[in-house]
Amino acid sequence: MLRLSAFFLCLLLSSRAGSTTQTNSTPAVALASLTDPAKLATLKGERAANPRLQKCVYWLAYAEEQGEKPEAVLDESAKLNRTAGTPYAGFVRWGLLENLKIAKDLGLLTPEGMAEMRRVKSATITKGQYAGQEAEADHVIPRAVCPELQNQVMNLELLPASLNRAKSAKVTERARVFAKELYEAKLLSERGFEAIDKAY
Amino acid sequence: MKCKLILLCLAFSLVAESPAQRNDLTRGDSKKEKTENSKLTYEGAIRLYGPPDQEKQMKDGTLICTWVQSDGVYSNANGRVFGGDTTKMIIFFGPNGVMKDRKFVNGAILCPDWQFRLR
Repeated sequence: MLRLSAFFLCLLLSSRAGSTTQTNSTPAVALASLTDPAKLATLKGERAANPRLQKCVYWLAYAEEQGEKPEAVLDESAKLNRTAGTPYAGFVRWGLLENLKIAKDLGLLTPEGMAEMRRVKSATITKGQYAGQEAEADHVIPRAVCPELQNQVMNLELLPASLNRAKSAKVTERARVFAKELYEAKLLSERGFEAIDKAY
Repeated sequence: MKCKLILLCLAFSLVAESPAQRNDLTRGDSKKEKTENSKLTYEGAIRLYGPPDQEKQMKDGTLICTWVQSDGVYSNANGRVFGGDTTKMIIFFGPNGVMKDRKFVNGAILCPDWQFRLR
């Protein structure tokens, strides 16, 4: 009888250990890779991180569709890429949730839009005055002014194409506030912040 | 017999709570987080639109912030503001710093957020 109890104990413990390895959801794993600062630092070329924004929004929307909380998925992804608790993770979390909201407001999360974003393409806007245009990834702090932030997902935001063209390399009041926050969090160099301040 | 009972209790305590607990730990306190993220805060508004042009604190703790769209370049798809009135966005924050209400004055269109994000 004792041996039987020990057998059941072993069986239960092994089943628990097995289920522990399944805690990471697919969107969290994907987002961990897409927002990994070590990987972003190795990207080369102009606008190299832009397609990542489309895919991040796709995975967040997918997670929500599957009944997961986007906020929790982002927290899980930060744990996976070991940025949890850092200012970097905070900025990425806030930025991606904002982009998810924009995607909803602009009607990007249609089956066609989701398919486009999954293939890292710009989704077509289906709601509001910009319907028919593509939602492009825009640099909140222009890359022409501050190249060191050009491949940071947290500096990207979905924007209707016509507005993206009109904005060009203009440093907005908002961009200056954002730059100050990044500088204070030591995510932007003094030289970078000065360049933004000068361009404002 | 005691040994068997201890072993079984140990096994049950390890297994019975783990899925729910593990879910809570990995998913976080989603109820609380949802509240934090689904409502615009004063800090969040500044991050989105920059510092407000006017701020007024009421006796009941409500903070009324006004953003003025002075540029006008991004007011419509053609790139020009229509009419001559100043477009404003007024956000009312409760004493807890969370948005209670928001109003757009002049030029309130289908996607008015952009006017202030890009000013």
